[in-house]
Amino acid sequence: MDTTQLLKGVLDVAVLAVVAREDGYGYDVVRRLRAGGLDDVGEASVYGTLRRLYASGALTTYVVPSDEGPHRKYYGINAQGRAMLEAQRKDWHAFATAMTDLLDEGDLR
Amino acid sequence: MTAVTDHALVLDHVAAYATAVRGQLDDLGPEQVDDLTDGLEADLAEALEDPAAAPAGDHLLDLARRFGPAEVYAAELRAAAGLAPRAGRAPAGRGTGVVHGVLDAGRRTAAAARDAAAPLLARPPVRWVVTQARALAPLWWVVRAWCVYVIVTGIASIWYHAPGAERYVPRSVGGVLLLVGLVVLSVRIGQAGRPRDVLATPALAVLNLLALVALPTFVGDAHAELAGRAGASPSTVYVETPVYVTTPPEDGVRVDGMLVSNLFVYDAEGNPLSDVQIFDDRGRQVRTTYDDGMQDWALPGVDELWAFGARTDADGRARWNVYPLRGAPADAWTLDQETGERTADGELRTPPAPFAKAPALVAPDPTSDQAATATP
Repeated sequence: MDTTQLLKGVLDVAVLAVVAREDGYGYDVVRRLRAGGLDDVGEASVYGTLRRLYASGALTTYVVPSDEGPHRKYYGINAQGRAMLEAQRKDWHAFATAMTDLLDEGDLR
Repeated sequence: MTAVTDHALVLDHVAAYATAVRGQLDDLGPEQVDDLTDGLEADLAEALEDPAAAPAGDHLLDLARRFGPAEVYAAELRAAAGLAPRAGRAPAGRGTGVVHGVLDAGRRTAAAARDAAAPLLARPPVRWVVTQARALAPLWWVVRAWCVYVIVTGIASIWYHAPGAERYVPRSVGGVLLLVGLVVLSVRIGQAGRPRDVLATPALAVLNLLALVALPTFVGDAHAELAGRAGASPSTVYVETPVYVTTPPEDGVRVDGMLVSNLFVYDAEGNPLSDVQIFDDRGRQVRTTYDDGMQDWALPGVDELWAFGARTDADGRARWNVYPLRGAPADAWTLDQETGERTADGELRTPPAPFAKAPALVAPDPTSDQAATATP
């Protein structure tokens, strides 16, 4: 199955979940998503998602200068983001349960 | 290669790739582009150097292979951020006027040029040249400030109809302040990097291009002006200076400023002598004529003109220092048209002497001479 299409729908909640655990910069978030099992996640997609979530007011951001190279832009979650994450978490569980049931039923036949 | 230079090289390539990505976002507002790509270099660099993501290899220096073409990367970034795909032309509202149309066309051309140049810029020798050129950028900032200074003083000289004394080099406090101000401004603009203002980028590009084109002319003019100041006056000034010309020495014998044609020699008793050879103190022949018989001479008391001939010595050489010179009246000579030689028809003779006998010299008195030497 083409997981890229699946990812598109859930990338927001995945990114929110990762940032909710700990503040992170672009590639740091990518690495943690990949470590969590989302191997096919596109870097530019994650960066774009971070910017969009920030623009919608779900994330805060701050810049950390680096001694050995360009500065890093960190993202952190705020109250609005946590509320969004909670709502989407519920939606996902409902959706996932429905899908699991659906697929398991199909499997039994 | 050390890890440090490796890292620096990666950062160079990352900067080039990030620039190409930003070029693909040029239809967005500067703030939006900033928002989308702030920290992009750090993310790209870390992704490149992350051994878990992909094994280190030649993709390290070919970012398009690792991240895909800048165009695709930018499109993904844009889509994930919830922005519309790249517009073919500037969206309405950002200006529909001619100026904005020209600016958009310029931006698109610049972006296309950046995209086309990105793979070339990623090559190490090209990167090296670009890095060196960037190191010289501060010098250029000063040079272009000077170019603007020359343009400003040029306009001022036209405005006031006066040749600018400070056209190229400031000579007054005002001129120095103007030049210093322009240099400070130029350096600050240079340090600020790419301007974010919509109009500033093309304006700066035009200014840089203008300065670059005008620079050779300005340097040439300034050199000529400074050379003129240091040495010759720029305008021609005529000064009357007396010049003493040394006339070349003329051969011959002169008496009282008049050229002498012949010499007559008399002995101590005043009797005329003939066939007397005369030499100077260095043994050179004393000649009165140098025309070798071709010229006619007016003689005192003689109506007709005379020409002179040479005597011949024992070795057959012509001698012109044997006096009195012998000659003949001009019409007694025949000119051979073929050889150009002039030969006398008859025997040469001595022209009339000024006088038959010269005054005799007083013979020295031997007794008085002895007395003079004997007397202490």
